[in-house]
Amino acid sequence: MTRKEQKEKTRAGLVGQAETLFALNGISSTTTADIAKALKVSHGTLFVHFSTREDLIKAVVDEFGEKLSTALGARCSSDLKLRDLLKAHLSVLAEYEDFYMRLVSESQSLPPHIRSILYSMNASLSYRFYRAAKAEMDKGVIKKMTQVHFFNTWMGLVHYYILNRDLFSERTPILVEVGEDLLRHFFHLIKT
Amino acid sequence: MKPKCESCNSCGMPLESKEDFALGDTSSVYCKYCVDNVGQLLPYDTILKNNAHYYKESQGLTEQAATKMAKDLLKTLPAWKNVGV
Ligand SMILES: [Zn+2]
Repeated sequence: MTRKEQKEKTRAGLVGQAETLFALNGISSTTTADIAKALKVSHGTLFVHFSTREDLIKAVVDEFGEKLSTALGARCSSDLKLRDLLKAHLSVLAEYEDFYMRLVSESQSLPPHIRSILYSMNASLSYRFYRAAKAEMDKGVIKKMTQVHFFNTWMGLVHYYILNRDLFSERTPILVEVGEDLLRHFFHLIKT
Repeated sequence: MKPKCESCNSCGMPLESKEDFALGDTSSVYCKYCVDNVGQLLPYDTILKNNAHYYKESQGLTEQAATKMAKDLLKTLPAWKNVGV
């Protein structure tokens, strides 16, 4: 392995380890020392790759964001139907559910820049979903409603189940357990 | 592996298709919303306003919350690293 490959491997290891510990113990209660220790690298090594703790959190969030935008048909193939978009959204959230639950539950105490990235990702989702929804509203298939109401209703439903997942399912990810049911219910609500 | 998504150096918007780029020029580091009709980067205040609008329109944030969030977002983007703090 070349030095460069070794460096990339360590960086990826740190991002993966950070995600695991954030998911397990929460974002604000996980220190950079915890992450370095779990990966068996020195604390100094971590700072060679990420100059601040915030940079490391950002790397985990960015990875999640890229998965999301790939799954939702970024790069031209944006003609996915509403149902497929929402399905893809659920499946990426399910994949990142342990970490995502922390992001949502700790939203108000996240570093402000991280929070602004999270809500910027949500803005992209909102535009993407609403573009697909608008097409179906125009055809009279689903009810006309504002972009904010449409998006926040969907997010409200999904987040409620994620935040209380211990109450609604014995198994995780809860979105694998209840995702299809939520999707069916959401379409029941919005259809004309 | 898919190529990493590029994003606008001014507002962070993903640059996914040719039309997203400033003047449709895929070598640009900016999106179409961040430049004027000759491809010049718009002033910080305009970008800040546009970005705040983006948060408001998509999710219903208040003017104040949206502006703060836009400031927090722009702070670390290459075009505005040392501006507007
Ligand atoms: Zn831009």
